[in-house]
Amino acid sequence: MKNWKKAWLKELDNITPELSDEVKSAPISMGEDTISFDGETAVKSRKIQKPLVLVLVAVFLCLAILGTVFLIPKNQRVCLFSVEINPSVSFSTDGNGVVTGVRASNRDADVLLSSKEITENLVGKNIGDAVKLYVDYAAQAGYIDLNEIGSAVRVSGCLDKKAEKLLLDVSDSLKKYFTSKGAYSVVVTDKVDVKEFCSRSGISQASSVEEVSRNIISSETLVLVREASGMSKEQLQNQYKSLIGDFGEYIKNNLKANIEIVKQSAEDIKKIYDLNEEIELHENNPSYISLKDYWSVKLLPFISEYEESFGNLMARMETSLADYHDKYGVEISNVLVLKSAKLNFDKLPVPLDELSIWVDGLSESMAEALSEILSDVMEIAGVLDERFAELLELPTTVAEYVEKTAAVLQDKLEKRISANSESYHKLRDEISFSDYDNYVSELIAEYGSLDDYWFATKK
Amino acid sequence: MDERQIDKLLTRISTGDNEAFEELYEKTKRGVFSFVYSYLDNYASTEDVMQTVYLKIKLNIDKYKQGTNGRAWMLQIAKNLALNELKRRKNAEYNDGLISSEPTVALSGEVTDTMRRTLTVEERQIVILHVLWGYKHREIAKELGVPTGTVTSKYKRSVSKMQAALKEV
Repeated sequence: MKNWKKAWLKELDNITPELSDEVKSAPISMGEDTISFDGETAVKSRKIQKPLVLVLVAVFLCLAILGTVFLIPKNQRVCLFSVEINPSVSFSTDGNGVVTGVRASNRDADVLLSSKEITENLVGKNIGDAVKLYVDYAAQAGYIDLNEIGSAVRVSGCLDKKAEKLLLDVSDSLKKYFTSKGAYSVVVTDKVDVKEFCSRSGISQASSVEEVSRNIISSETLVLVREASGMSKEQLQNQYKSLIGDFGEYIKNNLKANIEIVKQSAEDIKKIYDLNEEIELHENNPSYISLKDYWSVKLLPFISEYEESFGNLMARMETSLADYHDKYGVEISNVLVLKSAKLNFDKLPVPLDELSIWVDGLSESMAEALSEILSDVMEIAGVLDERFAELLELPTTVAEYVEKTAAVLQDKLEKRISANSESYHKLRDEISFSDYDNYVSELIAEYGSLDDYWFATKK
Repeated sequence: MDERQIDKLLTRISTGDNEAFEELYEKTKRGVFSFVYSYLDNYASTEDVMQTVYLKIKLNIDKYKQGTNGRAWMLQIAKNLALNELKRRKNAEYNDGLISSEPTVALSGEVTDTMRRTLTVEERQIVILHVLWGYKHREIAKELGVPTGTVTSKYKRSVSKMQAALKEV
């Protein structure tokens, strides 16, 4: 399957046209009234409006210079929040606390934010709700153990005095979350300046909150993707392999998980293959030419009835194919598909009974070398996880690396959520606010402050 | 093709970033071309429509809302323009009194031609959306208004048909 995709992509690179000069030079509409497909018209309208734009810019600058921060609507101000559990993320919001961007601060956060569903759910939400949702995702993935007493989340806000309430909102939101989940987890909040925020978020130093916000909104969400810029093909591939973990184990585990189904599929394919051979060799096969397989015979015109024994064979074949389709979700639509399937099973270097044991002994390079056969075998057995087949191909460009990295991370996230499901869903009694507050007071009494507690937990 | 990346690029384009526009083109040209071609089956028409798609993106980028579905927005533009071209062709045939439709010009691409020969338009578009645009089967199912299982089985069937046809070549 991989080969046709590769060939297709290469073909498309050769046949897709370049951008025409007209399109390249056409202006980008910035909201002018006159929009037309005629590039010339669009250019003319921009030229006419240019002096007006300059006047407007000058007026705006004057307003800004006069320090009219009170005239600037609240939602054009910017606030920043860093949420550290491990994983750590940074949020950018407007002055009302509505999330405008989210960015992974470390690689563990990449796993969580690789999910499009998660990042889409965070942007556009009020920061209190967004942080609560993020912490819940982290808990589902096992990054925070709701059953463990004493885990901690630190939320740092880089915001002006008017927006301080937002930090309190986040703290309250998390307190409600933890108490409702019966979790004695602590929320440490902290107000920081831009420099400290950048340090905690892994963002290169910036001079203003607005600059950091732009960075969060416009840069790549994931750390791994940001790091990929400028890497050579070899570096990308090594990075990708280390991301998967033991690459060979990944291939083997996928196969071993489905070995029984593969074995059964091989037996069923052999039965269908043998049936088809009987059909081809039957003396009453009505085809006069070489195309005597089941599918070719079915297509023969003017045949209303088969000879009895041949007809029984055809009926058995029809039933077998329908059963195979029902069992595995795979349609064997012609003799080529059938022969290819049989060939793939035959190409496996050991009997299927021993495959599980044999796969264990494979080196990574051998596992990789056999991946093409393995994916073909798994496809006809209806157990091919398409992502698995695609993940086996190493990236050759940054764009491919980015796509595949996201897929691997999502795979890891799903596995983590699945492995942690029992712990996350364990029944815990809700905690009252007073019990929770007493618990926090005890921690402060012991450690001096929640900040000190935070640092103590991170040692 | 990651939806978030497309959204980021479209957001950058909306600030006047022409470099982002050219990057968007490089990242999406295969998907746009194949999608339009699935309607038109003609290289010359596809090329023209494709250029218009990107021109329209530039000229209407202010209408794109950041954080929404950039892929779907682009594909809607491409679909509308492809359908307009089909209408234009039909009207041209009517006005010129032609009986036959504009001859399709096959592309010199084995896989592309095989797809055109062996798959229905819907099957082609399912394969294009999944392979080139990164749509999951359930997302395609939502777009087409059919169950996810239908998309999965159509996709598998399409791949089998193509593999069989490619092996015959």
